[in-house]
Amino acid sequence: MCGPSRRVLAALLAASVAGCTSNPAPKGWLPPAAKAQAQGYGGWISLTGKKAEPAAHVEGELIAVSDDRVYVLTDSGLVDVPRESVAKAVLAAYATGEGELAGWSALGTLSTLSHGAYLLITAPIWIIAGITAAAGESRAGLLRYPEKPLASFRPYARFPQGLPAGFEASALGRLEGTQPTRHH
Amino acid sequence: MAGVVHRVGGVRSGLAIAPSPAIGAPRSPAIPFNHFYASRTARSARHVSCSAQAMMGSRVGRLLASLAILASIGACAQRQLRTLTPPGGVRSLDKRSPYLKAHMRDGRVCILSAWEVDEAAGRVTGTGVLLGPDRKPIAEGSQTVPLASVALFETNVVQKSPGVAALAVITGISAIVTGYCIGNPKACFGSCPTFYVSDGERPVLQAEGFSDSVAPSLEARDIDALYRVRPAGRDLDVRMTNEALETHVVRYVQILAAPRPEGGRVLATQSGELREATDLVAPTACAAAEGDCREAVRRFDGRERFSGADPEDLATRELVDLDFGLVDSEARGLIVGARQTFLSTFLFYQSLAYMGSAASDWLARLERGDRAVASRAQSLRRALGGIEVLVQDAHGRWVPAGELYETGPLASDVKVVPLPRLGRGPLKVRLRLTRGHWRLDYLALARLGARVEPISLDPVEVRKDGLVVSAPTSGFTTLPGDEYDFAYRLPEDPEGYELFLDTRGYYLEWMRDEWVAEEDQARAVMLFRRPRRALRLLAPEFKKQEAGMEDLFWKSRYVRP
Repeated sequence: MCGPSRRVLAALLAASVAGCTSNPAPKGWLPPAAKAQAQGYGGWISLTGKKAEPAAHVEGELIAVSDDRVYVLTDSGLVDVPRESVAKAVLAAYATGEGELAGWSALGTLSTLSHGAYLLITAPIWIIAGITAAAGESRAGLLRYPEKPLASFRPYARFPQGLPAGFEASALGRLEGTQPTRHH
Repeated sequence: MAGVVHRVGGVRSGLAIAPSPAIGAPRSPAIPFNHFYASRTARSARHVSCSAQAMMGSRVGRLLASLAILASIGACAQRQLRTLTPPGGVRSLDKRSPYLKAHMRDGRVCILSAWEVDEAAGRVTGTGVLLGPDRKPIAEGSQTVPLASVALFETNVVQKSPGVAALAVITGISAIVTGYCIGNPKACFGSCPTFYVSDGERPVLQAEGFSDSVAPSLEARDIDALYRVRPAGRDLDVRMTNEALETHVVRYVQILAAPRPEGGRVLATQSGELREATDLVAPTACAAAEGDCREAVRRFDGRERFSGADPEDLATRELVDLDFGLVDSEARGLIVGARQTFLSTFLFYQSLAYMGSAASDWLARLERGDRAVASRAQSLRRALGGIEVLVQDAHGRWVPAGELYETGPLASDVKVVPLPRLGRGPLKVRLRLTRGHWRLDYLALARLGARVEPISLDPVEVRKDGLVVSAPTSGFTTLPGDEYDFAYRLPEDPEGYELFLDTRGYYLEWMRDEWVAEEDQARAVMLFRRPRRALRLLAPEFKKQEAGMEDLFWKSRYVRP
C-alpha cells in the first residue's frame, strides 16, 4: 500500500475511533435492534455514583426504574441504587454497528485507489462520511444521564412498568453472559 | 391514550448491522495495495517498470464482488423505534411492529407475533412465548393475554439507518468513478513531478518537470518559468509532489533567479536562453476558427483558448492569427503561455497500452541505445508538432520564426519566441498548431533585450513529511503520494528577480492491468512507424473522451493552475 493510502486508512480508523462513543455493554451481550425487539431483557446500564457514595460504579442489566431507585442486575445479584446518588449513567439499548460502518468506510476508502487522481476527492468523501456515520451510529443506541432524565431509561428496562408488587430479587436469576436469543 | 415514542440516542436512534464476512476480510482483492507495497519495498525505478504489469490490479469482477459485499452490509443496518402504550391505548398500537410485547403486572412478559387486539373482548391474541420474570419460557404457541393483566404494551419498529443510506449513496458514486476509471484509465491518472509555489496568497501548481523524460535514457533538464510566483520575502518554498502512478527520479531541483530589467520581465526561449523582455503588449486582434480569441489570451490568468481535436485526424492543424499593429524595428519576441491538452497524455498511455506486456522490452531497447527505437519514440511527438510561430513579411508571406514545445497538460509554461526583424511596420503573427492539442493562456509581444545570466540556487533545506532530510547525491526517487518541500534563500531584493524552476530527471509510468488488456503489438508498431495513420485511427476513440477529460481531471486536483 502506498504512503498516502496508508495514511488515509490510518486517519480514517483513528478518527472513527475518536469520534465514536464507547458502548458500556460487554462485547456480545447486547443483541442488534432487530433481535432486541423479540427479547424480554433490559438494556445494559452503567451507573457512576457521586463521590460520597460507597459504591462508585454499578453496571449490569437494567431491571427497573422507580421514582426513587434504579434496579440493576449485576454479577453479584440485584442492586438498587438511590436515584439521588447517581452522578452519571449510560444505557445501551441494543448493539450498534459502528464497527461495521467503519469497516465499510475503510473498504470504500481503499477502493478509491482505483480512482486515480480522483482519489483526492473520493477518499476524503469516504473518510468524512465514514466518520460521521460511525460516530452517529455509536451514539444511536445510547441514553445518557444527566443529559436525559433517568425516567427516560424505563422503556429499556426488563420491567418498564416497574418492579412487580411483592417481587423477590431471587426470582430474577443470575446475570446472563449474553442475552439468550429467541426467535419466533 | 396514545403511547409515548422513545427514540434512543435522539431523533435518529441507533441501528444494528449483522456481522458480515466482508468485515473480517483483511483486504479486498480489488484493492491493489499489496502491489504498491511491493514496489515501495523495491525502491527501484527500473524494477517498478519491469514489474509494471503487476500494478493496479483492480479488475472489474473483483471490484463488483467487493461492492456487492458492501451493499449487503448496508442492507442489514437498522435502527429501533420503541413505543410503550398503556392497556387503555391499545387502539393506537403501532401495527408496523412485527412483535407485540405485553408486560404483565406480575413481571411476566408475553412476546407475540401475528398479534391482534380484540378490544371488545378485552384481550390480545397471537403466536409467541410467555416468559417469566426471570425470562425463562413458561408457555409457547398460541397465546391469549387479557388486557386487565397487562401493565404496558411495547412495540418496536426497526428501520434502515440514515447513515447507511448515505454510505450507500457514496458507494454508488464511488462505483461510478471506479467504473469510469476502469473504462477510461487514461483520464484518471496524471503525470510528471508537479511543483507548487505560492502566488502570494496560496500554493499554486506552477510547473511540471521533465514531462518528456519517460525513460532513464531520456533523462533531461527542464526549465519552467515561475511566472506567477510572488515571493513574500527572501524565503521561497517549493513543494514537489508525485501525484501519479509513476516513479520519479529527480536529480536536482534548483531555482534560477534572473535579474529583471526595469519594468520588465525575463523570459526563457525554447533553447533555454534567458532574455530580458520589456514593453509587453497584448495583440490588438486574435482570430481563430471560432472567431475572436483576444479576451482569452490577453492575460496569464487561467482563461484559455483551445479547440477540439479533429474527429477524423488527430494531427489536423489549425491557425491562430495575431495582429500587434505598428511596431518599430527593434528586436521583438512573441510571449506564449500555454500547456498541452490531455491529447498527449491519451496518446502516451495508449502507446503503453498497445505495448502491453512488452512495454518493458520496448523500454529496454531504448535503454540499450537502439537508435531506431529512440527515433520512433519521438515520431508521435513530431506528428503532432508544437506551436509554430510565423510572421508575415512585407510581401505577405508567412516566414517561420520558431516553434515552442512544452510537454505536459498540468501547468502552463511561459516562453518567448524571438521574431525576425522585419523593419518598422504592421506586425502580424500566425500560430500553427494541432487542433485540440494546446491550450493558449497568454499571448503578447515584448521588446527583447540582452541575454541574462541567472543565479542558480540550491535548496538550503529539504523536508519530507515535515522532517529535514539530506539530499541524496543521485537525486530523489519518489513514489505515488510522496511530497518533498524545498526551501530556498533568494537574493536580496527578491522582487527584482525573475524565478525559474530548473529540474532534471526522468520518470517511469506504471503499467495497469486495464492497459495490458489492450495489448496490440501491431498497433504499437503502427503508432511509431506510421504515426499519421495511427492518429487517424485513434481520432474517434479520443473524441469520445475529449470533452470530459480536462474537466474531470481538474475536479480531482488540489488547485487550478
